[in-house]
Amino acid sequence: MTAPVPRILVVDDDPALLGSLGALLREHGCRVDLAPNGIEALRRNRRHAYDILLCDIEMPEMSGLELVERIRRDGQPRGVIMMTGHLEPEYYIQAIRLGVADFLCKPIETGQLLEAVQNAMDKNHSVDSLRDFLANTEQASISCVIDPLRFMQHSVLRILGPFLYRNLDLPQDLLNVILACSDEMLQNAFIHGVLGLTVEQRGEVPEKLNKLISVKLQNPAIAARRIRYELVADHAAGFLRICVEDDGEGFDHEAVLNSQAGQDSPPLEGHGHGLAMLGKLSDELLISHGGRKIQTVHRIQPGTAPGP
Amino acid sequence: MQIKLSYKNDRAMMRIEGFVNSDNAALMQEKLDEVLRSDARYLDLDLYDCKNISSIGIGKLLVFYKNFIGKGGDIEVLRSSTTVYELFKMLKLNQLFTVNLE
Repeated sequence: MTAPVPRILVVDDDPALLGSLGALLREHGCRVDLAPNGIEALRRNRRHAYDILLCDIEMPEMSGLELVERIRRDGQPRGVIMMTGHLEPEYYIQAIRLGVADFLCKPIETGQLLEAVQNAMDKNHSVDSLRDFLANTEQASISCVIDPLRFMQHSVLRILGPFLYRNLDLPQDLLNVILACSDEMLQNAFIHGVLGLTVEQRGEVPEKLNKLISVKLQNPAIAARRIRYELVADHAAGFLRICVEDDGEGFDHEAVLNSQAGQDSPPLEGHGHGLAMLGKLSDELLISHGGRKIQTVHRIQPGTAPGP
Repeated sequence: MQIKLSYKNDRAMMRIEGFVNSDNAALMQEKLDEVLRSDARYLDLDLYDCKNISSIGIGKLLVFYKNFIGKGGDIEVLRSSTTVYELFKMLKLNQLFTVNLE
């Protein structure tokens, strides 16, 4: 194995397999911890930073996929390799969504295992390189233009989340806030800005809402609208800024006007919740262009790269 | 996000862990619809491990609330994370139903 030495957490409810995998990986220069179940794995993961999680999918009480989902919330580990006796398509899809790097079918062959570990380490290294680049530049930004016709098909949050997680070295709490604000701003830009749905329409059951959205998007003027998203990390000045702008009607104007006039809508009215949430989660909330452009600013320690 | 829903007599207990956002708000709505269809008259919400609820999630909760009280039901948040507690307070949802921190 090439340097650096991987630190691997192996999780399997088969004690014999767990022991033999641990011994094999140690023989090849890895630092290995073993866990017979998901609970123990979570406990160990809180105490150490692992490069790779090597995990059985099917385990009692907590499956491998549930374990990966929970561990991902803590932002660790970066490389996940799953082991299984047979790979059901639904497991595969869920695993891909969780960012699993590789799959090994049991019985595990030594060569395949070592290759999977090496590949995962190589991937981690290239992510580190990009993170170092972004963290050590004075300012870095990510921007995209979103076609509303594709907005519903591809969850922007699911694309953005793993990308930000892998490429920006942010503390998990800050990353969670960034994702929550991005989700709120993009959804409002789409639902209210681009589509112009009323509060009542937004409250419809999913099937009816999806039909409403499809009808709206058949209007060429609406389908031509775009949503612009930008995330700027200014390390020198010490802030992260999210900006979302749409070509349509913008953020909920009524809520904006009421908020500026100091009048809050009655809680059941449904106005202003998103705005209130963004104000709560950010250090600064800026609204311009008649509500079509929304920016949130999040302070990070100035002069240093964000992250632990 | 994970949602656990259970029933005891006329009480439904819903525990939400993680983030409620645009991706999974529909799942929350499914569970709330299940409570609405059930014989439960009270919904106890445990939001201690719920890290945030987006405005879409809030909207779905309010639609449920309107329909639930319409059939004589009531909601109480038994406990919540600090973020959710402050959010509910800021949105004045604590004027509609009891929201406990813990």
